[in-house]
Amino acid sequence: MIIDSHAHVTGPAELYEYFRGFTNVSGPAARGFGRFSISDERLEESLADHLTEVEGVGTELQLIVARPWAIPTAERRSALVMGIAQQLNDMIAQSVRLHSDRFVGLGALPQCPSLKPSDALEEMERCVHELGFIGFKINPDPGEGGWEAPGMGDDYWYPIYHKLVELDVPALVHGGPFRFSREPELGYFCQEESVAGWSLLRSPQVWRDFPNLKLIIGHGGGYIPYQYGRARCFRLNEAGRADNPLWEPFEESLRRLYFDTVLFDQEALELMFKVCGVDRCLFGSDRPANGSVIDPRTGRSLNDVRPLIDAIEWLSESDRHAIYEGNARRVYPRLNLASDR
Amino acid sequence: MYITQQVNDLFARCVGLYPDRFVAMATLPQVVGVSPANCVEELERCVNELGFIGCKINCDPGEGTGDTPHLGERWWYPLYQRMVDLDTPGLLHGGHYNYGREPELGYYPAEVTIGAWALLRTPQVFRDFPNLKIVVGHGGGYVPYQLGRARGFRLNEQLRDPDLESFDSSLGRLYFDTVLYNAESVELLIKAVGVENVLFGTDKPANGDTIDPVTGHAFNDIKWYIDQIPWLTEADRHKIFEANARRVFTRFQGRSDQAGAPRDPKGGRRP
Repeated sequence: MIIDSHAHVTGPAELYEYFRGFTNVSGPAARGFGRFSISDERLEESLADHLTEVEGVGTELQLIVARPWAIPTAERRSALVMGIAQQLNDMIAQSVRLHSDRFVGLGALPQCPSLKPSDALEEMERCVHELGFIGFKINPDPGEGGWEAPGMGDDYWYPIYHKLVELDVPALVHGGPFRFSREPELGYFCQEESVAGWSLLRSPQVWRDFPNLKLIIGHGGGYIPYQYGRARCFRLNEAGRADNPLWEPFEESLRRLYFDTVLFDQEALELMFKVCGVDRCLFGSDRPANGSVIDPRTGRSLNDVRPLIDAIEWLSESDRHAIYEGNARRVYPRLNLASDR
Repeated sequence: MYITQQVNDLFARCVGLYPDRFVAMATLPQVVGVSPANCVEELERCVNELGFIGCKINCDPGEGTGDTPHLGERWWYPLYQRMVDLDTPGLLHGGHYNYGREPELGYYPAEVTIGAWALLRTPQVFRDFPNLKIVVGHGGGYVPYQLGRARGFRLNEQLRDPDLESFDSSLGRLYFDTVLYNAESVELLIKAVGVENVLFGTDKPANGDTIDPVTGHAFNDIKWYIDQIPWLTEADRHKIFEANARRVFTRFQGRSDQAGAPRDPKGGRRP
C-alpha cells in the first residue's frame, strides 16, 4: 500500500475569500465573522482534480492537512485565527468523510504571535477526539520571520509536545506563510524546517522530557541531511561535552527525528535514506502542489516521487515497504484506527 | 573600512611571506544599510596594488535582520560591475550572525543559499553581467539537495514566461566549493552541479580539523572524500582540484609567475 504522509487539501476558493474579508481589515468590515458552510457537492467539485491527480500515480491513502498559507499567522486577532483554524480543520474532516477510503486527516494548529502554544490544546483535543485526526502540522515560525518564535528545542513549545505525546499523535514540522523579501517559498520552507530541526537536535532535554515525541521534518528535512557532516563535526567540537551527561553524538540525535520524502530528485532522496536511515523516512509527495508540473526530461510530474524511490537499486523490498507504508503506520499509531485500509 | 583595509594588508603580508603557498582574496568593507558601492575602491586596491585574485561577499551584512536586499537586486550592481571589470570572482560566505534562532551551524549554509537562490531566480543579473563569477561556499549551502524543488519552481514560472531559461541553465552560471564534511554530500554536490562547476575547498584549518572517529580522518580532509568517489575520472579530479580554480580565478594563473601579469581579458567563462 502507498501511504502519502504529506499532502494539502485546498477546498473551495470561496472559503478563503470569506476569510480574507476579515483578516487584515478593521472597522465595520471586520465584524460578523461566523461559520462559512461548504456543501458536500461544492467540496466534491473542489476535490475532483486533487483525487484524479493522486490516483494517477497510484497513491492509495493520503494524510491531508490544510495548505501551509491557509492559517493567517500575520493576523493579530487571536479569535479570528482560532476560528479560521477550526473551520479549516472542519473542511479537512469533511473531505475525509466524503473519501474515507482515500484520506485521513491531520490538524492545522491555530498559530500566530498572539496565540500561545497552550491556546492550541483545546483544538488539538477536538481534532483527535471529535474529527478523528491522527496527527498535526506545526508551523515553527508563526512570526513569519518577524517576531522570533523560540526555537523548537525551547520549553516554550512544551504544552504542545505534552499534548502530542498524551494523544499519541505525531506532528509534521512545516513552514507557513512567508513575508521575507530576501527569500520566498522556494527556500523559506526548507530553511525554517531546518532551523526547527537543528534546534531540536541540539536540545537533548526535549527528548529526555518527551521520549515518545514524534516529529517529522518536512521537505526531506530541509537541508539537515545535506549538512550532516558539518553537524556531526560541530557536535564533536562542543565545549564541555565530557561534563554534559546529556551529550550524545549527532547521529544519535538525528535518529530521534523523522523525515518525509518531499524531495523531487533521486540523488537527494538517496542521500537522505543513507544519512537518516530508511526506518526514519516516510513517503510524502506534496501532491497536488507546484511540484505537479511536468518535468520535460522525464514526462512525469516532479512530485511523482515513487518512481524516483523505485529506481534506487540498493533499497530492498522491505526498505521500500517501510518507506511507503510501514513507517507511517508505526509513526502514526492512530492511522490503523482512523482508516479501514 | 579601516579594519577591512588592515585585514587585507595582513593578508598581503601573509602572501608576501609564503608566495608559493598562499594567494589572497579581498575582504570587503560591508556595512548593513550601506550600498556595496563603498566596496569598489578597496576591491581595486586589493586587486591592483596587493595582487589579490577575488573577493569574499557576505550576502547578509544585516546579520539576519532581513534589511539587506537579496543578491538578485540592483543594489549589488556597483560591486558586480567592478568584479567583472577586474575579472575577480566572489565567494559567497556568511559573516556575523546575530540571529537568535540559528547559530553558525545552520546560518552559513542558510545564508549562502539565500544568496544563491536569489541569483538563480533572477536571470537578469547574468544578462546584465554575463561574466560575473560567483562561487557559492559551503557546498552551495543546500542548493544541491533541494534542486528538485527549485526545478519545479522554475518550470511553473516557465509556464507563464516560456522565454525563461531552464533552471539547470541558471545553475550552470554558478560555481560551488566542496566544503562539506561527509562523503555522501560531496558526491551529491558533484553530481548535482557537474564536475566543471566544482572548486576544491576545505575551510582548513577551522573547526573541521576534528578527527571523525568513524573514518579516522579530519572532517575537513575533503580530498579524501573526493578520492573515494569511484565514478570520477582522473581528468575530473584534475578539474576539481586545480583546473576549475585556474579557469575561474584567471588572475591566479598570472600570479604563479608574478603579481599582475597579463591575463585573458575575456575572463574564464566556460565555453
